[in-house]
Amino acid sequence: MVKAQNPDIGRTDDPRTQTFAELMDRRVLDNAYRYATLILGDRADAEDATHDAALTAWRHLGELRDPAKFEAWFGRIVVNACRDRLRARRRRPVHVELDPELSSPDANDGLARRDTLALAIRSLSADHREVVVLRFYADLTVDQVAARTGVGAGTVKSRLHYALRILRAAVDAEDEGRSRP
Amino acid sequence: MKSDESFEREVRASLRASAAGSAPDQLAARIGEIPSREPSPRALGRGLRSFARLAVNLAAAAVVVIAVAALIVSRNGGNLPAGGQPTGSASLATQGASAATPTASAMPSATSACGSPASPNPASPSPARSVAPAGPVVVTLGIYSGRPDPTWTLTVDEAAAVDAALAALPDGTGTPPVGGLGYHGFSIARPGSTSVAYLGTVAPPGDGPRPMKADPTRSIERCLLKTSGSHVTPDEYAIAELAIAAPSATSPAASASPVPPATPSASTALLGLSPASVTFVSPNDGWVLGTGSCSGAPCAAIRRTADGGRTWAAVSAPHAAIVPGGYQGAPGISGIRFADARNGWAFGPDLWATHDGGATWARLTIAGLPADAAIVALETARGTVHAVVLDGQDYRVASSPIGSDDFRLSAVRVPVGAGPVPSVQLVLSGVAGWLIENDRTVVGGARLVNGAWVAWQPPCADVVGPAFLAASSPTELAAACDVGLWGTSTGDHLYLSHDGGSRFVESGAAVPLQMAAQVASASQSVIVVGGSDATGAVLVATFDGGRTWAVVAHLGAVAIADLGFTTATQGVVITASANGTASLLMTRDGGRTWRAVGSTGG
Repeated sequence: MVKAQNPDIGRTDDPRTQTFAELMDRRVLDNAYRYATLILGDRADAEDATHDAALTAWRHLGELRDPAKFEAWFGRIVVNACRDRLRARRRRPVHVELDPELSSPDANDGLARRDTLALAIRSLSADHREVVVLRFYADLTVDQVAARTGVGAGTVKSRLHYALRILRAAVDAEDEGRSRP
Repeated sequence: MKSDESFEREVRASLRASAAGSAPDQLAARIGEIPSREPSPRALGRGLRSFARLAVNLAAAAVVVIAVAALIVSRNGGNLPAGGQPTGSASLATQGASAATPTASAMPSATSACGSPASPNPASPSPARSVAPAGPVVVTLGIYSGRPDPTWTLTVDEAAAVDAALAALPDGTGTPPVGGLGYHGFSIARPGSTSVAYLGTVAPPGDGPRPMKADPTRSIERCLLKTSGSHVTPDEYAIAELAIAAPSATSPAASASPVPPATPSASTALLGLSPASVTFVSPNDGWVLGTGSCSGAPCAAIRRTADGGRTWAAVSAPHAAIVPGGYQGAPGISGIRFADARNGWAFGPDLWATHDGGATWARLTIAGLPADAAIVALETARGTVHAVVLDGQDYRVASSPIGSDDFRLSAVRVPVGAGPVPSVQLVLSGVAGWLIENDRTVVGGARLVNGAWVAWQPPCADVVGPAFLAASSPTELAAACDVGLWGTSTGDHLYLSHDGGSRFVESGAAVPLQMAAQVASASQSVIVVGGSDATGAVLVATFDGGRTWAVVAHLGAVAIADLGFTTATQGVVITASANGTASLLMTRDGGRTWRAVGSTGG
């Protein structure tokens, strides 16, 4: 597959820079940013986390032995960069940015249910949200999620189980609320 | 209630709806500026140790030249000196983007041994190879069993060089040796004939006595290896090169009739090991953990010396992968420490212990920690082993008597910093100990006082850069601090404490480095700092407590790990080059000179 080189990384004769530009293409960058947005719920934080991850990747590029595995390798760095942001956030007041339309009442039951689900996902613990996003948004297998998050496959399964149970409970409660007179 | 599958579809849809669009252009632009704004990405020591402030204008070509020179020197075989008690653990992260490909700038550029023009640079894809007029000469490196061996076709020049070298060898008759597992020679296939070059003989395959050429210097094998270019991996190259370095079956020192190669039990070489971590418990007794070869595949391996690094023998190693000590999710080991001849540990992020000198190893878990907790540093002194554990939120210290595997967690916690790559250093001296956490800058620390770990304010907490610590006694500490590294850099500075770390005072002269990576202290006045200057990695030393400094070793384009002193005169350091190979260097004169414990000779 021909990858679109990141045009923002200027042309250079430096092989390190060339490698970085080839690997850090726009698709990789978009995926990282979207993941960070879903985990952090804040686009500014997501930008910073993605930038931190790219910086880390640049500095550790020499540790990457197989360029074909760059995406998984960078994915782990993004996961950790988001964790760093979440840790730092513990030290300051939490501000969760919500899209206005997301929190507004909607007459449509389907959309309301989706909004409830979105809010419930945002309310998950970081560990639970991480596995949910990687499994159901990034479409990784359980083993891949385990590799990316650094926990065992059993832990991933357990977290997914509990996370889905929490989400289902939130949606069911919403449904019950709507069905009451 | 909806089915699980249906509900999961809902979750997917919700996530897709909530996800942001493409990354903003301004973010792409910020990331695009990273290569020009940030220090060159060279790992130095554990974690993020780039050669910060290394002049960006240090051309990549120059770096490659340095690497090639360093590696050629290392391939020529260093001398074999001896050992130190390191204060840090080794991380053999390779450096430079070129590590992503088997650069093997280390691989000599072909055929001086054959007397013909150089063959292609193995670092680059093999160019079109013109075929000899008499037909293709196909060479196969016999190194595997059960999987295909590397094979390639010689160029016209290479084939002519091999023919010339073969013609110069004397003819004879004999029974050539037959290889077993591992390296077993080169097959040279031409239209209508095949011969095998192995252990100083070149002969057609078969059994029993037959015509053969004696090649006491193994020139044909050396020549063929040099034509391998990008067709062999650096690991395969190293395995073959090490095997070819052994005496030939037809050398004057060997028996009159060719014999199969013996398996060495002790050797002046590290027996093919690429070192990752080293530990000495006395001037004579040391262990090196690194990547060896198990049936052709990389695996954890340990070598032991009982004579200060002059000879080495293989001992058992944990069944674990060697990991570079970087990112999560990769189980394995990266460091080794021994307390005495019997009790030792391999760690990072897993934890293994031996209590029989390395004959057997057991994997340990520490009660009270999550399953994914990682051991990030480990040191031992005065009958106790201390391990720094990252439990996902904080660093904690677990300590155990050396013989019992009874690790107990300390109450003190050092929170992980908010930077991208936290790293921890653990230093012990007698009954005293210190833990310092860097995450770009100094983040926090802990100190061992009266057998208990307590919170501690480490040095250089306000210099906007990391600090690296060493101790020559329970009261004498040295800290090398990269002042302003993440702000306005003012270089590397030495701070000394004479009261066990309560108070640090800057010593006189600035350390002549752009950035420090490791520090070791042989005594109050002798301090060695490993780091980088404009030439690459260097060791600088002071012998007067920091008043004056001198460069004691130019190491080239390598990463530095496990710098430490065993005694006031004997020390050790590991260097890792861009292509993943690593070397062990030792000093026996208090840090003034450092010599490689090479792959050959001693």
